Amino acid sequence: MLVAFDGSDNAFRALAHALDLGRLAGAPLTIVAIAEIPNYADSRLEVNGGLENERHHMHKLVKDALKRVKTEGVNISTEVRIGHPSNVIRKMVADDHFDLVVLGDKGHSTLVSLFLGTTAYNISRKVPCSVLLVK
Amino acid sequence: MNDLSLLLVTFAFLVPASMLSVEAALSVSIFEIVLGVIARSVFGIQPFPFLKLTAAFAGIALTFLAGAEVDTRLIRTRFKESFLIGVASFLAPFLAVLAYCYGSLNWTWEASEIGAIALATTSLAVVYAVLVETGLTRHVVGKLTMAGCFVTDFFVSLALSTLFVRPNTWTLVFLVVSVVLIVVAPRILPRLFQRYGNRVIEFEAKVLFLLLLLLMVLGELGNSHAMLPAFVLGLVLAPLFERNQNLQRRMRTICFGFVTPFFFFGSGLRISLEALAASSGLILTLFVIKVVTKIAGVYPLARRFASRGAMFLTLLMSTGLTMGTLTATHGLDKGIITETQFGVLLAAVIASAIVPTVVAQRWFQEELELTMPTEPYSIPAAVAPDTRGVIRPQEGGD
Repeated sequence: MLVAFDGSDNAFRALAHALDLGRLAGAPLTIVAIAEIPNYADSRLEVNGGLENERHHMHKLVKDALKRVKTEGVNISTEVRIGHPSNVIRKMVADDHFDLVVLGDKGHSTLVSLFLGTTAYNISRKVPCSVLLVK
Repeated sequence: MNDLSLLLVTFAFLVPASMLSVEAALSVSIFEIVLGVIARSVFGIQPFPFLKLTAAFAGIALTFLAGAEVDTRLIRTRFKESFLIGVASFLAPFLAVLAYCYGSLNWTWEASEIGAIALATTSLAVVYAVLVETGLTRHVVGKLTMAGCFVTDFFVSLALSTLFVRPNTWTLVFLVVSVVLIVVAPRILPRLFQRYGNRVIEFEAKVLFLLLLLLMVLGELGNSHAMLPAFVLGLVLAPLFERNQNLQRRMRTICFGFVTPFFFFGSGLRISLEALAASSGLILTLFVIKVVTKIAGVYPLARRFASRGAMFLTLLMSTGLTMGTLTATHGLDKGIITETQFGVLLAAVIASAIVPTVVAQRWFQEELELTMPTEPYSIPAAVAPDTRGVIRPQEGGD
């Protein structure tokens, strides 16, 4: 199972659900937090700086999240990846053959979702496996 | 409103621009330009002296940073391919836009040159973001694209610094001082920074700013432009920056916190929405000329040097943002182009940052996400593609 985590309330609910499922099914869980790169940057400094900050932020986010949930009985691995969430999830599913992707139906940013659809929707369209959207 | 009040208003726009950039995962510069346009159109804000001065300095600082970001090792290992791609990437749109602006639009020759240079640029930063995301910085296609961008940037700086020179005595002084700085700086600055740097006084930033301001002043006196020496100075100091991540971070804080926002917001303040709306056809035409000629110039070479991913490379080389904005701003500051021409060029440049990138990512990226020839190349630790940490239920931490 792959759980996409961005620190939002929905993401926490998705993580809790995934942990329950993992416990029931005895399935290992991979939590992925995605550090997004600013598009159309004006310098490499901005890209590298944004990336560095995001990676630290995501690492901390996942670490803090695991302190807040019950992780007993589930084999968990964590990753921080770089890129756009839908592309990263799609690639991870293709490379590592996950059976299920679990994510919150809404993340932090409503601005992008107003114009481009929610990340959850984009991911559910792109991945070849089942997707569980948690509200 | 006095300058102090205008400065307050400026920051009142810059803060939401930063917030929007995080929410949308887009570069803050795009929002700074857009909010600058809104500030002018809705509130009638115009560039004021402090903003103009800071923006002018920011332009040179951005050029210096562009040079400092050049990976000289990469260019050396793939010199022939990167030089050819860079030259084609610059020359093809330059000549086409020059001919169109002068021949069809009846712009003055100098205004046509400004348009040609602005639309011949390539955005290394836009390209780099895509390459980092896809992990292609380690692949042949990624390396050639970045190296090609470096070369294109160099030719843009060269063109801007030489085509509009009106030589006088100070021009010679400017030239001599530029050469001396470029030769001496990489030898002296590392020792100087080792002794006085890495402290709260930000000695390194002050020294670099001193050098850039010196180039700007002499460039003005010599009826030239400091862009080329600033770029080359950055280039020769690139190894210093590469070795010193802390210096990069501090320059980033200073530039992004205070300097470069004035440049982009100031650019937006100089755009009239009405003029832009009236010129939408022209913006589209110039955009198409840029992209088509970039493809015509770069694609055959890309096919030769990186057959797989040639179109992806070509489309990324068709992007432009910072250097194009710098060029157009220089043209406006010197009275070579009008505000309408400036708005047209800037709109075409921004379109070229977005459209080719979207097309490349949407239609040509997936075919590259397969095994391609790679070469040993280390990328900065800050941008390593991913990290993995295995956490057992009882443990915590990275």
